[in-house]
Amino acid sequence: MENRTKHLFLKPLCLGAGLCVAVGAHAQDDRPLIEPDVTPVPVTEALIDTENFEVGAFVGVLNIEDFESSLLFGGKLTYHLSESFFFEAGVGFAEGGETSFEKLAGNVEVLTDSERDYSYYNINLGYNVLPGEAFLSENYAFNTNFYLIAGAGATDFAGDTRFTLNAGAGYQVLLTDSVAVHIGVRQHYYRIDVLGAEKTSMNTEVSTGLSVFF
Amino acid sequence: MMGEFDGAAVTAGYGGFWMTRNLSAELWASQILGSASEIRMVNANLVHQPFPHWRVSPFFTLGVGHIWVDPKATLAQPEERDNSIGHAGLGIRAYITDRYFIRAEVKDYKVFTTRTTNEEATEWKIGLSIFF
Repeated sequence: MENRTKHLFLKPLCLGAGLCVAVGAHAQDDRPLIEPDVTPVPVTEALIDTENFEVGAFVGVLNIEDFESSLLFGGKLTYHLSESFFFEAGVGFAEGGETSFEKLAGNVEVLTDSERDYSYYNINLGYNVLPGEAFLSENYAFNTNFYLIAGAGATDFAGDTRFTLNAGAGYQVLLTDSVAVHIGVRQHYYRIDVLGAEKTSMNTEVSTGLSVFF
Repeated sequence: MMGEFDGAAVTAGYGGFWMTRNLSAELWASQILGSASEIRMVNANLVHQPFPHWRVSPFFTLGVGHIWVDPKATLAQPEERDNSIGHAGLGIRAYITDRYFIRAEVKDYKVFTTRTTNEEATEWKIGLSIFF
């Protein structure tokens, strides 16, 4: 009898108490414990949307082995196969200077003026090895890609067209959804025999460029 | 695509059109840079792929074209030669994704010269191709 009375009164009491606690806790869950002072600012970063083609121009310096360094300019067309891989076709124009032999010996010419015109084309495969972000002050964030690139083509210099291999790396910063800035270094290798025995010439190119996605 | 044409480095590009599941027509432009000459070549060919649904699928090709040989300036008789050329070849297409594939091929060329004997050249190439 005593147990039954206990159960009769205690059960509804416990249920009632439990309900109150539950309701009370639920009412308190809506507000956070600590209100943050900072309101999050939405950041918009440039991203490549659906544009797969990129056309650009570049300018830089090309060191032509034995023939001084020269201003280089050119253009390129890139097709992005995926986020990581891309194909690039490029052309470049420069002009060779004098060899040390021509400077020291006096009135001697190894190449004619038209033979000093240096032009090349290449078809390359590139790989975006380090996609990332760059921050300029606290207001600007840019998506960037560090890429490795290599390929082959031909160089027209010193009266002949020579098969050329090239390899290098570059850094691309996406300024907007359709404009990017590049800076890169490329090495060009070809075999040349204008100064006697045939040797492998390694020409270094440092260039910067602007490109548009479409 | 890149490879070797009778020992000299070749750089080539092509565009192709698939007429049926097995048959396609292609147009090629190649530049061959050797130690003795610079060669430019244009070829049109038909490609037959007997098993197009295979991931690594072989193909056969037959074509004709034109070749321009420009000997290097240091040789005795620097005059340009141009001839017709015909070729037969076989190759492999290995699909990486449904749009990109690696293509490797071997072609045997016959250069139809004005002399009594024709010239022969063997070429192999490997490269990446894209479907548009």
